[in-house]
Amino acid sequence: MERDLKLSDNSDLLKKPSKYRRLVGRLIYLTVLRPDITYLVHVLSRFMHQPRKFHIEAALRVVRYLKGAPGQGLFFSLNSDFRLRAYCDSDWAGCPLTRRSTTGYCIFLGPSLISWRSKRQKTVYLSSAEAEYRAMTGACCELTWLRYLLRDLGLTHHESAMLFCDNKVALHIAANPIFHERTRHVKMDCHYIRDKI
Amino acid sequence: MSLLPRHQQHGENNLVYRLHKSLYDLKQASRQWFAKFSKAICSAGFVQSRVDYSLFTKTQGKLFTALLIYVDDILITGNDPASIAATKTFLHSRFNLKNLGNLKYFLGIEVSASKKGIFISQ
Repeated sequence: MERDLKLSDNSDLLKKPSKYRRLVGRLIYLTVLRPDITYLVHVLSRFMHQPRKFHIEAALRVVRYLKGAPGQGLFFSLNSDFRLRAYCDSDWAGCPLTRRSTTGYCIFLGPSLISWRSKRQKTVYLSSAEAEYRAMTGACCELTWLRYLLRDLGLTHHESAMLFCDNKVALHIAANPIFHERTRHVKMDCHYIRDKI
Repeated sequence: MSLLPRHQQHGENNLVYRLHKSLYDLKQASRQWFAKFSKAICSAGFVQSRVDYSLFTKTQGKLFTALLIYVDDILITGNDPASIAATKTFLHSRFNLKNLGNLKYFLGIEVSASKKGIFISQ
């Protein structure tokens, strides 16, 4: 679905855009506890201002998917080691209209998923490493917040939280103490992550 | 809001009220309510979390009580039933509230607990 949705910006405009907006609004409400549709809703909500026929079909498809397995939710197991693990990723230049990348991350506390996000980045990045790096920063911010929150709840973490990233270059930038001239524009993110490592 | 007739004076158009107490439906009402609540709950020994302002916690040795508030919906949990009961009594003495028992629904989210863990769904 996602690929088609990216390319189809030439179908008819909807006569009643409010219908689409209401539907997507309801889907956004559902993302509170449905990580599986987070990305789809995130893409669909980009077209709120000018929904086309194709978009509402895609939205209805999400509704059909939800109807196929209603009542899904999240399970928090009692057997938890309370260790934080974060997985982050980004699709480089994934948005066809702006060529900006999308940050995605999910954070687990022991075996349970507690936080996730899919968000388009604010700037265009020229390499996938930069986009991944940006995603790492996003996940790292959330991790920091969660650690403070857990501390307030009486769970002090002595061991470090784990952040997983699938991009070699981004990891190298994070571990390398020397700034390269070409990575200067992501310096702020660099500083942030390096402080947290 | 306009001045009441008996408060109107001749030649004075720009008079305003100075309120002694917050009124319902004012722009600041929600802020005032939260300020009032946090003041009350902090006087009972709770500490407001700095990362999530709607979370209040109280630690006494090994006893831990947490209180989470959303506007006027409150969740109380902890590892000691006696301190939870004490918190509830304290809130009853300050505010007029209803005890809805164990958590089932909160903000449209259904919560069900079992021996293995907690399941939440919408």
